[in-house]
Amino acid sequence: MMVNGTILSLRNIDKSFSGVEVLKDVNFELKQGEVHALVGENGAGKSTLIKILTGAYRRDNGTITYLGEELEHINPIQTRVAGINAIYQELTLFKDMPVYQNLFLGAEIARCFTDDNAMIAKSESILASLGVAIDPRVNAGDLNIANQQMVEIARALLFDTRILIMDEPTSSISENEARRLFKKISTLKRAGVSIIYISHRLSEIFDLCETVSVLRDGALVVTKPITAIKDEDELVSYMIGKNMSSRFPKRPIQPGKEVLRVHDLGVEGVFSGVDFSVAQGEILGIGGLVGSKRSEIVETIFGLREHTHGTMYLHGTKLRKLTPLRAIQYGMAFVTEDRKRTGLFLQMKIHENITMPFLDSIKKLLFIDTTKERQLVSDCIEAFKIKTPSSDQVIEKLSGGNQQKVLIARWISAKPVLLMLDEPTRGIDVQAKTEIYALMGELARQGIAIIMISSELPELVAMSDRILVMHAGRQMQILRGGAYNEIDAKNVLRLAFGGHVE
Amino acid sequence: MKTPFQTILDATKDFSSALVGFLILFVALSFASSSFFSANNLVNVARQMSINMITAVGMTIIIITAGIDLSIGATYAMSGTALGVLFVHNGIPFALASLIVLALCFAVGAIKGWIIITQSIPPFIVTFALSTVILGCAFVMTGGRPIAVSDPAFRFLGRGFAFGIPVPVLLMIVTVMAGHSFLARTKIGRHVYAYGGNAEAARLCGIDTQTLIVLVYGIGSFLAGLSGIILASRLSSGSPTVGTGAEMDAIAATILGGTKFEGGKGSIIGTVFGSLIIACLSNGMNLLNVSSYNQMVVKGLVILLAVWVNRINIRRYIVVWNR
Repeated sequence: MMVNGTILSLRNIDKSFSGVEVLKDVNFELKQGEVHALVGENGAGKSTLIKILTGAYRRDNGTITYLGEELEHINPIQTRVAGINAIYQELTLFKDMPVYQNLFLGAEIARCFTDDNAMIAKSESILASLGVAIDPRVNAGDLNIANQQMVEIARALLFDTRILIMDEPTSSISENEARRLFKKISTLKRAGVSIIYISHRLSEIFDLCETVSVLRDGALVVTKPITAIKDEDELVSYMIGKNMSSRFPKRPIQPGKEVLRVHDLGVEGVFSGVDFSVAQGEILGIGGLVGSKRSEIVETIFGLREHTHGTMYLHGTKLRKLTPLRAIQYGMAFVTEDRKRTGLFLQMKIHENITMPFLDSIKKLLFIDTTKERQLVSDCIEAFKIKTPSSDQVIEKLSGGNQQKVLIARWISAKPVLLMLDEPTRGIDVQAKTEIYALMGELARQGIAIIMISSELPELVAMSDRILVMHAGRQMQILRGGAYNEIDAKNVLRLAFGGHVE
Repeated sequence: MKTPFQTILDATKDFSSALVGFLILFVALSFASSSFFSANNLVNVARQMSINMITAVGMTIIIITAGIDLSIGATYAMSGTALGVLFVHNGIPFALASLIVLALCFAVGAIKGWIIITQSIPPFIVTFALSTVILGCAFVMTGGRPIAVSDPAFRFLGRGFAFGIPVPVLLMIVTVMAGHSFLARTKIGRHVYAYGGNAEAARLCGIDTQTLIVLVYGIGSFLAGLSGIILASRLSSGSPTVGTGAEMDAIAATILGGTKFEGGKGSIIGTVFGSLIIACLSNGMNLLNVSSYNQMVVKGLVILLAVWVNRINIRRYIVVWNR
């Protein structure tokens, strides 16, 4: 039975891993039909709390009461059957299986043989209710990340769900898709489903949630109705324990010499008509919806794709027959959007990850000069404020924010003239984000030209000197800052949806 | 501060089960057979393991790139018979003939690598298919019969001594040291790990993955060719049937030594212990008069058991027990 509409209550939860306390005396209550935000920096204990709730981890102390019943020993399968479903940030789809088989995995509709038609039909209806046009017969691996995320969400909705836990569901989908997701969340809420919502995008929380709980260093510091919280800065101050004056450090801009000029660039069937230049000390933002072929532009500049139209000049030199190796030799650096898939060597150590692209410069005859390498890397760890016990730490064990800092440290250490960042702050905590913004400002001041792709409007608008907006593979317009004052979120969105700006 | 014990644990963590397994086996055999722990027999063990160990250095590098080479046995056959043909039928001096054979083996390996990387065909399939081709060539060269060699110059690599140490053992030591330095200390060695851990990220770091894979398979076949030459020299014959199953022993030594089959992780030192386990096991069972059929069963089970134990992570237990 429920008490006062409370569907779930966690009392005095403690958890340590090999002597380190990660959760201390946490009390958490979830009401029926509410959207309850759980926020905190990476490493604050959010994921641990969720895993204790789903039974993936055993708690050391404390009680969990669900629907008036105390749960003793639980495992993830029991909790799923009981109606507690979690969507994790990391995608867990089987890439070589069609979408519908992914959705029904472990719960196939079958008598003697599987009834594929029934599963496809049900998949279609549930995907349609999420407002996405995904053919359930295509392989999950052929979808882009945003659509894979939607499939992940659809999978959780397939079952009778009373509590839905969403861990960063919007970290890889566009604003447009996010809006549809929010609509779906409201529908679920009205149907009486309770939602625990974890996100680093604070604006969403104000739009979406009724209650917010903040975790800091394993302790629950505050639970409040969202209406009792003044603004994002107040929320951030709970998370980091101090007031943050400015999340986006402003910096003066004096663009120097032109570094890259791209003229009428295109890749057959992907994008066309891209025309821009970027100068020393300038941050050029690239905005647009997910799927508008923003990443493809920088991939082409970096030599990962062959261009079929147009020309590119770096410092006036025409770029021909580009490969990543040659792009690096030209002084380009590229931090990709999916750091685990295309960025990091997860099993390797921090120092090995950092020095990989420029081992030649720290070689002594045949062998790598480890003294020089260690010096360089320990400087990086200090300069980039990478939190780690040592440079020998395997990168897999760092938090997302620190992994991202290692990646950026890698490319900065390669001393680029042009730095391309694709979603540089995806899935990392507020503190690390702020540090990365500060870093970008500093690099621009040193005269590096920066191209940044971002789906987060506030960061795109605040950090960019100019913003190139893409829509469906076409360049729309370049918004200018400064005296022109064209840069604001509304203009970016208008262009992203194919509109025009005067 | 780290205690010396912890330092040792840290340094050996990736092949702790091979190390512990080897120590247990070594002590057990020393007690079980009075003749196992003697200078004479230990030199024998070293000589017996040398051929497999040299090949396993190449196999370790290949497996770290998440690859495999199933044509090692065929390469033994090819290098032995080619050496016989050059030396006996054409009268080319042994040293020159060996160099030609090694170059040939490297080229064959480079072709494997080139097919794998440019055509994106899985290494398993490429090397599996090519093993038949290579073995077929060995049979064609000799008409299926072994080439017997009586010249004593031919036997030096397999049976000779230098500085009082058997030549195969000396070659093994040089190969191991070179292989270890290559993987642990050179740029290309780093690239090997990087490619095996995340091929796409490696490409984005400006690593020339095409040259890398061609080189890696070239090295693998080169070392297999060297093993084949030593074997032919030891047997005083170039025979197309000697290499059967050689790749399996090399893979076993690599995997026993803690190298991840999925790539990205592993070491030559680990493989040394893996190879030691295999060699001690055969040698010990011979001394204990275990029939060769039974030896096969035991060897297979030991490999399975070792990989199983690897998963349990012995190091954690040692740390807990030490506390």
